[in-house]
Amino acid sequence: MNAGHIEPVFRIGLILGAILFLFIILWMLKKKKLTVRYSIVWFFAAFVLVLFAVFPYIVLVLRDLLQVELVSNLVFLMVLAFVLFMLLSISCIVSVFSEKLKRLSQEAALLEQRVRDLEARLSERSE
Amino acid sequence: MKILVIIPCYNEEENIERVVHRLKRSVRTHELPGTVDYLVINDCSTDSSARICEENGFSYLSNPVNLGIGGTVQAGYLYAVRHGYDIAVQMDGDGQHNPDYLADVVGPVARGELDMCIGSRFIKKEGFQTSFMRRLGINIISVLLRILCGAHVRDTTSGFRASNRQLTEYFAQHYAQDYPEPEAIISAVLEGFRVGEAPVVMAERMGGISSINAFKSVYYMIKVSLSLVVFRLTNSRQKGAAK
Repeated sequence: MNAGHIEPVFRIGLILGAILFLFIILWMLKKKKLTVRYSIVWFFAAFVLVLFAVFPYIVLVLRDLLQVELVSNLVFLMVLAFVLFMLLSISCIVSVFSEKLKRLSQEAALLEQRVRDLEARLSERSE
Repeated sequence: MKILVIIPCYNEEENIERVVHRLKRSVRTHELPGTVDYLVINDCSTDSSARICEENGFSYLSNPVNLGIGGTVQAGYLYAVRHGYDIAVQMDGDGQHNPDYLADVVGPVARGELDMCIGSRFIKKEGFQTSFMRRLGINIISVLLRILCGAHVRDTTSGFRASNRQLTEYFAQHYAQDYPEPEAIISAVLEGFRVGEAPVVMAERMGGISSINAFKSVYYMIKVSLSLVVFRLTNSRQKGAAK
């Protein structure tokens, strides 16, 4: 493999993969399985992938700057870093949700007790 | 003075009835610094605990989903705050905490000597002292707490504890979900609350199985230590908090 350019096959694969990725995101948005708020970062990722495939020059410059031997390795490295970041942010989102879920459950339990209490008092009065 | 005894309950069909009746009997026969109410909190038990609470006409909350011990006890603290209780006491639903010692645990808080008083089985060393491994774990947590925040607590995992109104309000907003007992100590101390202990005698649970076995206790230890260290690293001592 020539280290000075990106193999056309790899480029085509990258473009096809990114387009497929975009379609999946759009499909999930259409099916309401994904909200716009959480899709932005994925759109950005797909966009960057297309950018790399269409203008490999960017990747070559980055490779020279970071002194990575193979271009593909650099792409993998960046994708891996992105995935790591995404996983961490998803853990954050889950933590926030679990806190909210906890509070909601507690409120529901307190309300249920109040309703039960009121019902008992009402039936007492009607007797 | 209004006192609320919070009894978290998860799959305690063998114990919960006895625990509540024993508490009621004990409250009638002992002198306490105020009126005592209780609240069983059924943490979405999969056994017949919920039915038992209903049939006996117990005062209870029912979590719609399983929250774990932290979220369950916190629901009790929320209830205590909303209903204007002066002291909230936590007592396990498995019968290992003898309600006859309620006055001992509530006393220092009622007299204003402490903001939180923990019932400790290691002061007089009477009654059920638990397994060697667990004692070791509890001691390690105790030393760790002393290093991290200067708290002098021996029975660090004891769930028999009373807190005054200010601390209950604080716990209603901030309470750990996973390993709440030791973390409640460090968070209270860092907020400037006074935390101490009173001697009590504990029994082995009456029936059912404990949620912590031998292997789990080692795993528990590692996770608790980590959570305490992380808590200390991410929380600073409040201004004006006494060392």
